[in-house]
Amino acid sequence: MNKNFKNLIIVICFAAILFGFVLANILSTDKEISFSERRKLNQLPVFTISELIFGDYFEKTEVYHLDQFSGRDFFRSVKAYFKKFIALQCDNNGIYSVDGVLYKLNYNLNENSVKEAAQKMKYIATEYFNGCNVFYSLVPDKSYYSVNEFYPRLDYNLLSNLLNENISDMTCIEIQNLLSLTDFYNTDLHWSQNCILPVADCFLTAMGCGKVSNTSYLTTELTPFYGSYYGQAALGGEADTLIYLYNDMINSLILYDYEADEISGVYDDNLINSVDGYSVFLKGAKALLRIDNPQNQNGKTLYLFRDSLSSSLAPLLAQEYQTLYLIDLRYITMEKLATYIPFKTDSDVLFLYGAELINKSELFLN
Amino acid sequence: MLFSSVNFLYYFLPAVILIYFLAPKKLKNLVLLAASLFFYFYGEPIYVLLMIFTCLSGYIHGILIEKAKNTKYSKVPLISSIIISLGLLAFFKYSDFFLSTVNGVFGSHISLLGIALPIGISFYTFQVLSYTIDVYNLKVAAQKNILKFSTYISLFPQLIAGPIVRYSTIEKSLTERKTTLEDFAKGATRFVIGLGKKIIIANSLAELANSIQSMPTQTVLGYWILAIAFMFQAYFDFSGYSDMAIGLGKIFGFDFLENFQYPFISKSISEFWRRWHMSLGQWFRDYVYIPMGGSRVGKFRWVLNVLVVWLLTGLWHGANWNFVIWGLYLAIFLILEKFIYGKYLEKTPSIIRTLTTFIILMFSFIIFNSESVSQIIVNIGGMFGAGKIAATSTETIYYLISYLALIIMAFIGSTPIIKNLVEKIKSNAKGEKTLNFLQPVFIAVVMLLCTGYLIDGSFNPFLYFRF
Repeated sequence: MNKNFKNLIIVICFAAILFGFVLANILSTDKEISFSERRKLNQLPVFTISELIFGDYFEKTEVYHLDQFSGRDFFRSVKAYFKKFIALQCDNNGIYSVDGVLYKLNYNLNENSVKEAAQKMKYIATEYFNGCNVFYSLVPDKSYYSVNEFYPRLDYNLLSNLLNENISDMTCIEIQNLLSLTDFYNTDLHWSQNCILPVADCFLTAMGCGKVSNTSYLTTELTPFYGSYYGQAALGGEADTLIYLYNDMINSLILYDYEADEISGVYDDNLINSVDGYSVFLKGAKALLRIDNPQNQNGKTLYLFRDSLSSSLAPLLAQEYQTLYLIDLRYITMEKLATYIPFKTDSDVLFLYGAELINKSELFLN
Repeated sequence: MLFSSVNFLYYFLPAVILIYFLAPKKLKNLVLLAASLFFYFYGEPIYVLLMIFTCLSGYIHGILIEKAKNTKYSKVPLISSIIISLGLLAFFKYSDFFLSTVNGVFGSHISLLGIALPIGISFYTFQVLSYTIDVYNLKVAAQKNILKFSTYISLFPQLIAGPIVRYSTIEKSLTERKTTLEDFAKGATRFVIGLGKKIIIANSLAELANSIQSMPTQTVLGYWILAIAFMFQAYFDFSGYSDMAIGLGKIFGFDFLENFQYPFISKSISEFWRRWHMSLGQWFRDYVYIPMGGSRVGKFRWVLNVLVVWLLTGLWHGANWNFVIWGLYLAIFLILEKFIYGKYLEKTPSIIRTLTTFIILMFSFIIFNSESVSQIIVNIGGMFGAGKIAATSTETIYYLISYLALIIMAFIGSTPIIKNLVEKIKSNAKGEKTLNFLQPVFIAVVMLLCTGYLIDGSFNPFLYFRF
């Protein structure tokens, strides 16, 4: 290749990339959702003179163009592969892989956050559940079970001790020894429902109910299940299989979504292909849900303050209760909650959170 | 608008290239001026008026200086130009620094003005100053065409991050220029190399520095990593921007002078300043140091000259005490080099000289990167275990290993190793053919990779916001 021809090829390459993507971006239709990143994509901002003058409009267009760039997922993978195989970086977007299992890099213990979470739980227990049996439990992040010592991780024991020191008049249910790494999905932060029957038993026993592991279940396997870490890592790899357990009683459970004012079952197979495949359980992130068990008329009620980890646990617990309320304080305040549901005395109350949320309790609404 | 942004790369730049090359010759400056004003408006909508005022002021003063030459009022328009230019710079950049210093010294409570700093004001102010001083010194003729003058001041490739382009450098190109296929290819290559330096290396090292700084428990190793990471980040960020500016200039037919010349291989601090941000160093040399007498003065006067120049160089980089300390720190080493250890340095093996200079510079970048005097003490003290901090931690080891390849890439990229290698390969016909084939592939790969980094929301800091 002579010099002139080389120059010509360089100019063509440069221009083709610049102009090619301009055209592709203009001609392609905007997407609403990025399935791989599990989030809504920014849409074309509305033009206003004031936003133009104060510079906000251009900032918004930059974000919009980044989100709607043609071949966005391809480019994210290009970066991820470069970081992994050329720059030899150990994580991409804070996600790392060990033996095919994806983990999130999260190691900073936020002591204030833990203390505030404890305060919040104490306040709720005192103000709303006087006379109830109040329990709390922490689910370690799956990195807790990894034998790999190289990657920094949250000190679960320290976090747990700090929480215990700041909580009183509640019973702690410890479950960390009932779990192992294989109980979690490879591509996701959640545990697999078929692996947590001992955990469900532990909770139910502690709360004075019967065990559910002796019950017989059938399983449904949904594949492929791409967990939240899968998209963030942008490196491809094997998908998981999402498994859920069912029997006559679970099939008869009635899920009521207060926000949507809808009734349904506790599982929805169709949601495996949604932005968050884990939404198969209880339809995903919801502020307030109620599960009614028509086959159990023992009059027992459980108030479960929870994050998404409880979505797969709740159908198992619901077998031992007549009514189960599921409350996610990231989406609803206690004041608002009080306008929707009754607070019955002599009920069970369980605060069940992943360690990650307790370490980031500013997400709770005040 | 940042060069390292999708709006610039995939909307602004293609549009400007298309319109510029389709426009008839006599409209090309107009296209560049309109594009440059839009470029500035994009980041600083209100301050585009300041930019227009600066252009008008420089243009009128240039003509007035020329007209007043050889009259008893010859210095009046020059002084007026300097007062207006430095006055605006002082008002926008240094008023709060001055007020907070007064408050600190006298215990007063004067409210700060809280004025946002117009991006690039230090660059374009220095361009106007160099122009009017050069017109006064008859080094260049005043530009009579306001379109050409405004194009020179506001030219978007060097507007917000330099290099500081002298009027004499591009005077001819403002009137007569053309872009050959080779120019375009060279410009595009240089631009893409700069883009890669900024996005892939500088931004990643900024991410590393950020991760280390946000660790709950600091370690000795962490402080050393932070120092190295910021040093390379600063080099790849600044030189990457200069490469992009030089490349864009080439595409549009301008030849800007080099701004960085492998500064980290310097064997002394004085050599470093001939290799680092050369356009700024030359500006201070020609418009401050030499007018003060330069080196043709007595010992004490020379020391004073050096201290003044470096105090001003420090302040140019930012209105904060750390920049003052940074400038004086380098001045002290320049003085020591001249009077104390310079003669021994010459007899020392070059690897030792380079290493010593590198270490002196590393500490200078810690000062540069610190936001307060107390932080300078913490950051430097931390490197030697002050505060009884641990030597290392799992997190520090993790980040070191995770970014080790990038640090090595940065180290190699900051030396002429790759350039020398390319030249060696080019020296035989077969090697040159191979490189000719690989160069377009390299351009395409780096562009796509940079796009990937931008899209995936990488850390994309703008170090020039203080300048």
